[in-house]
Amino acid sequence: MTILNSNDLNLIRSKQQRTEMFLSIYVPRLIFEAQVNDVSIAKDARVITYDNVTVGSYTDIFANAQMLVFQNASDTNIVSAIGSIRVRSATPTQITIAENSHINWADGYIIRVYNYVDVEAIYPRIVGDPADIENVIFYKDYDLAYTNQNEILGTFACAGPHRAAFRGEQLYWGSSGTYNVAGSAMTYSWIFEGGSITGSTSANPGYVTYNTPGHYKTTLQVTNASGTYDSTYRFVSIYDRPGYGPDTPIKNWEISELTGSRAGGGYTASIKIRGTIPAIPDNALVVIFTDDWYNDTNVSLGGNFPNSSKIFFVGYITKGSLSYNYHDNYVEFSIGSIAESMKNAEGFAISCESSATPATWFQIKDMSVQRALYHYLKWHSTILSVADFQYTGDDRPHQYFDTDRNSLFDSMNNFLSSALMAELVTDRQGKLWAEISPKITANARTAFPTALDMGKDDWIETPSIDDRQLKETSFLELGGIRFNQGGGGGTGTATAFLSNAPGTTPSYRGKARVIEGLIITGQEQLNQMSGDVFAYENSKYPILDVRLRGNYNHLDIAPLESVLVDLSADENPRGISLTNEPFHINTVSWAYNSQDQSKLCSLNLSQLTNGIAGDSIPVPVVPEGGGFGQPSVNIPQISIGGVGNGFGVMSYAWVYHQGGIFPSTHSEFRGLTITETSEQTGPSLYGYTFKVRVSPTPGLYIAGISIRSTAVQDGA
Amino acid sequence: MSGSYQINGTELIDQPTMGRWVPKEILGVAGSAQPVYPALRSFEMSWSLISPDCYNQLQTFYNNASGISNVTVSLPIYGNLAFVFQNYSGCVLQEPSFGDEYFAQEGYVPNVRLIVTKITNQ
Repeated sequence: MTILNSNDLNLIRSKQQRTEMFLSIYVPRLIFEAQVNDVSIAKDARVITYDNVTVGSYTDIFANAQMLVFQNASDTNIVSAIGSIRVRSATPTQITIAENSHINWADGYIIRVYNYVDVEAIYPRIVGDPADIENVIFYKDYDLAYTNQNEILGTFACAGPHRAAFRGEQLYWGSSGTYNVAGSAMTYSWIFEGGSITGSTSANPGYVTYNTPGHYKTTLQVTNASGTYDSTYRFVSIYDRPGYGPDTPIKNWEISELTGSRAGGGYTASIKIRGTIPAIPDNALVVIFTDDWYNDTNVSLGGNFPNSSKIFFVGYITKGSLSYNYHDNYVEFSIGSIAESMKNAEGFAISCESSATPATWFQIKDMSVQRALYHYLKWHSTILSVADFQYTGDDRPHQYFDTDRNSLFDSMNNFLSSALMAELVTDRQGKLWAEISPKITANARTAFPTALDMGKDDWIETPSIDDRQLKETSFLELGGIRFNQGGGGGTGTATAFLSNAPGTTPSYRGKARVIEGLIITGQEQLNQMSGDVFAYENSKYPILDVRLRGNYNHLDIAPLESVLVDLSADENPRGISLTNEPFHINTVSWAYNSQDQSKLCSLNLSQLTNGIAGDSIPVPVVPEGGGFGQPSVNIPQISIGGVGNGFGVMSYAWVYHQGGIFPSTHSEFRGLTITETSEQTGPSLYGYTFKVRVSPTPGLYIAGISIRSTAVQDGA
Repeated sequence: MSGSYQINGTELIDQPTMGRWVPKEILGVAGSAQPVYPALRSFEMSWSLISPDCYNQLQTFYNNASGISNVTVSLPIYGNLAFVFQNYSGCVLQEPSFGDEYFAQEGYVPNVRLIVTKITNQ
């Protein structure tokens, strides 16, 4: 987050402001080229035998690198590739790739590996266990067997945004936000392609100078105490400043309004480039970087990553959005944060559970929210290879983690929203934040750092403010589960809690709502949550729209920060007066005019609220048998034909149906408790009469009764 | 008058008939009632009638600068009624425009305008 000091705040309020924006589209370098050498190769091939290496060496290939496949060596335009696939590993004669069925492999095809990682899903694989017909074996990435990965876990390795800059400028590198989910010690290894220092083992190497235009890759490898590591890559484009060399950023371009929304998960915009341009692939990396002036001071402010304020936006060309207008000679495409790329990549359903001693892929050691998120991102996507990720909430123990067959974004966001009332949001520089929603954050009015104390000098035109007169929600019931790991042994215990707000009696306006399935730490937390959500959904000022007068570049949709609003009654048509009223940002929109170089932003804000804790609701006791038992059954008297020959013993055989299993014998009282018997009466003219009251064992039911008499001799 | 209209240090063959600083368009009005302006200014030079050589000179300046935003233009200092010139660097030239007709004799061009944008420090 960027909290400006007073000097910087004065700068952003200066009268003369301008911004020059530059557009960079990363052009991955070809690092390896060879030819398929396998006459029997066919669709679904995963191991590609090659020869005729014409570019690079197999040692230049890194895990998750992007491979494009071409039919002929003369096909040099990347858009003529017949397929794209992720590389897993390479040897002097073979390259192993991700499982695939979309490439119709043939001998002689050209394979080209690039200095780039695409945003993709990684598929799991489940096969039958040959040793046990009732068992299955789980693999990650087709054939990665479980050993101890879910016990050792790993690191969210953060390296900042992808970068772009001019020749001779310095870029800052650090690992701010890096976090090992098992709490292990970490060591760092950096490689700076194209940089003035080529590497470092420091957590925060600092500034690196780039003196030659080109497109490079920076690698950060974070190794934990067990020796396993997580790698992440950042791509760097270096240009000549316009007028100082031939390798300039893209010229003759324009951008529509760049809008970021927490509900959408990130930013989107549309770009138009006029004139002759090189072939642009879908999902190419886009960086917009800036020179900013506040009066005569040339300084860029804002951006969440330290010392990287010139990086205004990092994202990707949205797949399928490229269009060419040959008449007017321009190309147009949409750009979006990594969240948009995640929405276009679909993964498989995943289920995991917490375990003290994980033995398979679906068991995670002492699973918590962070560990579940790490598992999904690490083993089911390439996201951690190309983006920073941070979860800002408390790391609650969690028994089950499930995602549907859905896009990478929806899988994560659905889990976060349903289990935590959290949101997955990308900031402007491309970092993914998983944040507890402000509506359920305790003490939200003061919980977030203040990004801006906004008064009438900060906005232009008239702010628009909604004033809620009636409550939206009259009654709210929240349900959650506290999972206790069990101190490292066993599978833990889960305890359910319920809470309602405002209390026993609903308000007299609004609707009743139920939210269930939350992961919580206990009743007290749940009570506060229900009160907070109730207060937020009934806030007096749910929406405030305002257009700011300058380049307030430090404002972003993530992480959550508060904007304090000062508004006097004569500054708005509703006559509303606010003093230091805290709001949070829902959306930020940036409008850029390249002719006058003005860059203005508009905000959509919602009021932050503190709620009064709701009331505990006792969770109903579950009756014995799970509540499915039958009440006692009174068996009516049954007359049996007389056997007046003196046989004295009558036996009754109860035939019953227990859960689908038909008893193998007829002389069992299994599952029945005789609660009352009466002496036989009789003999009567019609025989003997018995009365028996029975109660079934909880969980069983009586499907029928048959009576059979068996004559036995006295003494038998 | 001190100085003359120049582009990249070269004096214009025909000095403009008129020159003016284009009024900035207001971006909006702040809550404090202060107008908000962009930081950059524009200057407009116009000629009622221009020789073909001068027009060609203007067109050449534009063609040479196209794609590179840095030109240095000598203009009257903004807000200085003494009509003193100074250099403004890092400027952008728009393509010169001219009227629809040519004079039949000698090809003189009427109603020519050249606008210089991205002028800072004012």
